[in-house]
Amino acid sequence: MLRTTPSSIPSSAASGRAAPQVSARLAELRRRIDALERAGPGHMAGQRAAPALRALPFGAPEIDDALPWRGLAAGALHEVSGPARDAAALGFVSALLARLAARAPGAVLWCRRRGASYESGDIYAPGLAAFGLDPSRLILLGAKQRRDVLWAMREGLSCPRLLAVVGEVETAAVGLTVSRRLQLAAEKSGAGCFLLRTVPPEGGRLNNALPEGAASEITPGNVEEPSAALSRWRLRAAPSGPVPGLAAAAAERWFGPGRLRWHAELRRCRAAASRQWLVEWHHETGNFTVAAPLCDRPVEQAAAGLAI
Amino acid sequence: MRVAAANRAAEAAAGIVPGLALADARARLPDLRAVPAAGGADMEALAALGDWCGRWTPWVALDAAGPHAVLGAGHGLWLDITGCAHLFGGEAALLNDMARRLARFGFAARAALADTPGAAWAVSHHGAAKRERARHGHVVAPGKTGAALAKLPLKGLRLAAAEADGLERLGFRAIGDLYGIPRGALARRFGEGVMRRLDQALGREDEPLSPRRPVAPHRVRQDFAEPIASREAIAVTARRLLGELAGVLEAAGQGARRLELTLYRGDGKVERIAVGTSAPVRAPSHLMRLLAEPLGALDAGFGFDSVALAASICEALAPAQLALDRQTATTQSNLLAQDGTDNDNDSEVARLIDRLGGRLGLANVRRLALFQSHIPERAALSGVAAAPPPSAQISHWPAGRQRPLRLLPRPEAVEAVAMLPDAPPLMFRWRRMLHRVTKAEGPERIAAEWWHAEGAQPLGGEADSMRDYYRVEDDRGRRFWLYRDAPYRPGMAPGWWLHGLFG
Repeated sequence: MLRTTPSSIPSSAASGRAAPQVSARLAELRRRIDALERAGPGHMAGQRAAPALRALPFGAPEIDDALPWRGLAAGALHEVSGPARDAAALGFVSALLARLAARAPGAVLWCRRRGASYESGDIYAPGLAAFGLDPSRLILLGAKQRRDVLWAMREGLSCPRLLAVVGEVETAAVGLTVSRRLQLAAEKSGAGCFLLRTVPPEGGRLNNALPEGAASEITPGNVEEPSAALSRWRLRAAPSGPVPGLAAAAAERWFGPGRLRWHAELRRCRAAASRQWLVEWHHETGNFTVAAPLCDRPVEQAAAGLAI
Repeated sequence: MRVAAANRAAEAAAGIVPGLALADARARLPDLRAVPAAGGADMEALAALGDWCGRWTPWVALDAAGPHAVLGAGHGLWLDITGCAHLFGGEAALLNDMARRLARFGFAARAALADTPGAAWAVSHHGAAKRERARHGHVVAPGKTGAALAKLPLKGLRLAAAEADGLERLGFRAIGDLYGIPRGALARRFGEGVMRRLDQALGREDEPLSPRRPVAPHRVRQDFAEPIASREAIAVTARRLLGELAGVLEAAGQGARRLELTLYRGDGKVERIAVGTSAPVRAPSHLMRLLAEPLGALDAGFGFDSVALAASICEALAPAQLALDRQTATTQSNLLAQDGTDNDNDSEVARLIDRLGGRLGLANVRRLALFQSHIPERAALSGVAAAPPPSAQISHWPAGRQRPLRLLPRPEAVEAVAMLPDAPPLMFRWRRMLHRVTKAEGPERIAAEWWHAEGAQPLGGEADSMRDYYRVEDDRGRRFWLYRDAPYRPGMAPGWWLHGLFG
């Protein structure tokens, strides 16, 4: 299928400040391009009803406005990566799945390598339930090899009644061909497809006892491998927000982690500029909010400057 | 050392028969070539041959308890061909076919067909060794068992050595000699054994054979005059058999939970493919998808000349109502899909589970469920997705109890520093990495579930061990679930463990 990135259209951050006629025209153009892209030869229009969800909004206008679909595009491949022994990427995907599951019926297929559980632990059902995702809607697949994980993901996307497919692919990149296949399969099925990847921590060192500034600038984790994913996210844990119902003054040391917060960096997205946010997840409402907008600057500096 | 088996040349040249001491045999024939008997390998070969005999009947049993069983010879196979002979053109033709195929493999086999297993055994082992019959097998006509056995030696009754010796000493030579003897007299002298064997041979007492493999309730098969080897031909055959089996299953109101495709190769090897499903199915298209992958990996050799498909495990499956027109069907399924409980949805997911399980093993496709328990390891159940969901599950997790997203398979020891014995850690080292704690919440004490029989084991070394869990956050915002061994024992540094990671 032939695809073109609409490079002539400025990002929506600019459109927010533009005159209303221009933004209406932009929306119309965007809709037409999207319709053209969707109706390609790969799209089996008559096979199933159109997916109920075109996009999954984050609920935070700052993020939704920055994305061309006003949210995360449904029926597409999204790559979410995060450092090892940091469950931020997993939390982000769980939160997205919880939002997705609240809007549409269907099961979620979760594929991973069996051996990975020794390294990083297993998905824990009560933890998922706390995110608002009913664990009984999950089908967990433990494959022996990585290529079986990818095969199972594609197989899952061929099932028309699945809500989403998640694959934990550990460290290595998936590659352009495989990700392209997954993206096409996701487009055809309308189900969300998330690749959960572990990348070396920013700074490339395992021991954070070293001073933070000593970390090298270019690390393997900063190099982008080619991928056909529609959007690529890099997640990192951030110090949590205030404990709900507790005065800010009392939120001292021994009053536990509050609301979950993550540094979410949109590294690549078709027709959108790369941005980063400090997002906060609300268990109770199942919503994201942006705790603080981050400027577009290198990650190392951002990490150093964010003492909340 | 004794001779376990000898070929015809040895028997003809020097009268070497099984049971003879090896030293005697060598004395009679100095250049005798002797090979150590491999009883285990013999039995394996016999079992493989038994599998291959499944081409004639599913009911194949091993006869491993022959008189020379210790020496590895005298084994045989039972085939119950009730209701099968007509498929091969009658009993004589079947036996002929059998003898011909076995001879082609180089086996010197003696086959006999009779009303009872006992009679067939006697005739095959001790029947007249005419060349003609040895080559084509011996069919004992129905109802003629008594006459056929009358002239055969007593050994044909599968008697214990002591019984056979005793009878011979009394002058009994042939089975027919026992026909007129009062039962009581024989039973008094030799016990019930002799009479039972005689009754079994003559069909007065039932002798059940237990088949080597469980006999499938539904089975269809196809033979080929020319062996088929191409992948397409095998796939076409499998599809045809699936269609036929679907008809059989539908008539019985059943669906298959487990399918076995058995392919008999011309050279005596058997290829077997088994697939399981998560719910009873009989739709040929779905079953074909499950079979497609293992079919591609078949070793066809010189080709298969017989293919059988059996539904080895079946469950009740109500006949499906087919929608009259597609429009209504789609609308209905859309309506149903909205509350997420429709059958179509379930069956699509069940098919996905089958496909995944077919390649990666059904045990590796699992579902999660919550269980009402305080013990972290027990609070999450993981059951095989193909099985019905566990009944003990609960639907909601109490909101106040914070639990991690990832739980390590077993808690990992960490070095931690705390100000006071009951305070959360200031810093801890996990997997060689130091974490400075900035926020912490706890403790949440979790004790063993003494009210459960299986939950009563302590959560640590000592009988009263408990865990004090803390939710901590380090300076980079990573959130962990740690616990300290409890209760505090003066003079002993408590152990710290990391059990989970929060999102």
